[in-house]
Amino acid sequence: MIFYTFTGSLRSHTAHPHESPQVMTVPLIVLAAFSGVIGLVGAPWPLVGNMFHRFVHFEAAEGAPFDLRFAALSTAIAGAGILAAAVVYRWQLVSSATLRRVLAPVYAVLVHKYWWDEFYAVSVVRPVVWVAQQLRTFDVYAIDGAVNAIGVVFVWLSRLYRVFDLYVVDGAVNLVGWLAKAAGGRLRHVQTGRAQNYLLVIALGVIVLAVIGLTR
Amino acid sequence: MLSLIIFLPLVGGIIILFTSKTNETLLKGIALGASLASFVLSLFMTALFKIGGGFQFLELGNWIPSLGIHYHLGVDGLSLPLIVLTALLSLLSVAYSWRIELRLKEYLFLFLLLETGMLGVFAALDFFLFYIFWEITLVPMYFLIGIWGGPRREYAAIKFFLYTLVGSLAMLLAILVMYFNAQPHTFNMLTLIEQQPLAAKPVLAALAFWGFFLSFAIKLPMWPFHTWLPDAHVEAPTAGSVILAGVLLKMGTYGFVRVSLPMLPEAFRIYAPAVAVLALLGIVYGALVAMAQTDLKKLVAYSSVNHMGYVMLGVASAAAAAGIPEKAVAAATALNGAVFEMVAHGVITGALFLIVGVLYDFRAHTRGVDEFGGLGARLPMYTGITMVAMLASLGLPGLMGFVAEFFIFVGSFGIFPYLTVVAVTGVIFTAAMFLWTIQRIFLGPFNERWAGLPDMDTREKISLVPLAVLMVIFGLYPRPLLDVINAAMTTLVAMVR
Repeated sequence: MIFYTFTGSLRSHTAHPHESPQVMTVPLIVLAAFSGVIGLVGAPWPLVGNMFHRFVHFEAAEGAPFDLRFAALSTAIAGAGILAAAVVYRWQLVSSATLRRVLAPVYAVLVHKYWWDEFYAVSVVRPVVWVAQQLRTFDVYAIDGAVNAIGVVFVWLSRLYRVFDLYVVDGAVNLVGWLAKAAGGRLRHVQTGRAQNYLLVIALGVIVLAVIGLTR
Repeated sequence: MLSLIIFLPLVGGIIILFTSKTNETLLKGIALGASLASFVLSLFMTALFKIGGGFQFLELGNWIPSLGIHYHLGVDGLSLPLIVLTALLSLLSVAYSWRIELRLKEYLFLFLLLETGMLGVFAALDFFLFYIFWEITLVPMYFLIGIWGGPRREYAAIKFFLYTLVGSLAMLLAILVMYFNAQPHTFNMLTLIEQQPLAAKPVLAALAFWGFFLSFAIKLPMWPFHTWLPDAHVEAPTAGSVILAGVLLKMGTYGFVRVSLPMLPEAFRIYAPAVAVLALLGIVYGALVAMAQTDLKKLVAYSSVNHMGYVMLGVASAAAAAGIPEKAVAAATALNGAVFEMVAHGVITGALFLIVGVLYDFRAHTRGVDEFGGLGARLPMYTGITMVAMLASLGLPGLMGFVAEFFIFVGSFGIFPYLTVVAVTGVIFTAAMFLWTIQRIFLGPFNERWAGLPDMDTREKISLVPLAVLMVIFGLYPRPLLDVINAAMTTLVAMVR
């Protein structure tokens, strides 16, 4: 990154790099100064020993002794990495495009960050969103559907009661009225107002009573 | 003083009824004055409140002596924060409703009537009075949704009303069971707690418990009684949604802590695992369904289902630990968290609904989460407050929601360890849901359709900034609030034991 960004000629034709204002450079300088020397805190100094070790010291755990071979090995690995980067990007002895072609499978794995994001999207994000959407559908249709169904059932029941009320209960009331009216209408014809008719009926009644009395 | 706090809004409402419809400034002035006076008095009461002093500011008068009904009011550490919260949210909602044009007079009257009802529920210590205040809150809310609501307002209003009424009637039956089993017959809640009239009658106690449960669970709302909530929240006008989410839902949890827990501890202990499982379903299910929503208001509504699940997990844990002295500390912790979450959810979700209203009512006229994008650079003030509210809601340490959830989890882990582990996964889904929402609305490429959108105006800032400040203050220093709650909850747990 350092070689690629800061050395060689300017590759972009549109960018105009310029120095940052002090508000950015001063904190960066402070941080850089500390990052340059902070590792020395953990080094095995002759008189005071490992200061970092004493700072994080726990009662139970025994500190690992300083191992020169280990320190040399890790420094060598870091140095080899810097050297390899310089070979490719600083001195450009090996073209980075060639490297990409030769190590294509390795490059693919690295450039996709081991496909970790894709794995995460498929295994976690999409299932959760899918479940959420299914639950939403369930909520709208099943739970709220049940609530609305109860409402609809009661509306239908009340309509049924209305029909029942209109035709059966009120019908019975009206039937009584209608019957009385119809009976009255029929009986109206009996009331002729002529004395002869009434006398005839009375006479017929007397005869019927007499016949009943005689046959007993 | 308590009566004054409760009935000042109603007095204001009645004065509004006798004021000319055309004089809008005066109408708003009266409404603001009444709710402000009530809020200031509630702060004054808080200042006089003695922590650990049990029920205070008691008012007791005969009302219907032949049935043993009293006018009985009082506050303790459970009701005091809720009363102050109610007064605050009502005041901010009146301030937010400044631009209501349709039938302003009726709107303000109903709003003030609603405030009286809500304050009364939290202060009543007589079941008859409690029930009256409980029902009073239904009527104004029905009209607020039905007249000033969104496109499906009639459907939402009738659903809200009928659903909660079914619950209320179950509660009425449970109250009557308590009344007829007490010797002498009484509606006095404090006497009923002392007497435990159903302690020796497990069947009746179970019936009474499930009666109260149905009523409170619908109000809360617990899974699977929650479907009235998204409809009502979405269709209600902004201030109505704020009150609905901020205060009305708390009436359900308040009922569980005030009634079910101390009056029927045995029955609640037996059924606590079932209640905890339902709470758990609400937590995980609510967060996942919220994640799938594309309507911002519905998303916030389902996040309420999720948060009320946390509250119920805390309450159910405390109930399950009733009668076990070595778990009393965990029970008190869980209850502290549950009550703190009630207040926190009131502040946070109240703010979230105001936030949705700011975007929807006077600016974009749409609530589709996917229709926005990149608003962060255009509306810095709005974005900042929304981020604070959403992060508080998902439980970011340093904000109010975290304190509440932390206490609930610490308490319930000692009682229901496995259920709590599952509940904690709900936090992840909540976080994913809110962060995804923030990403879709405020980050990403700017949608040019909203180029002319102005940032919040003074009136909106007045409604929202106090809530955001509270979230930070109680997130960093919850002690003043916790001390008040803790004293009451410790007494409660000791009483149940």
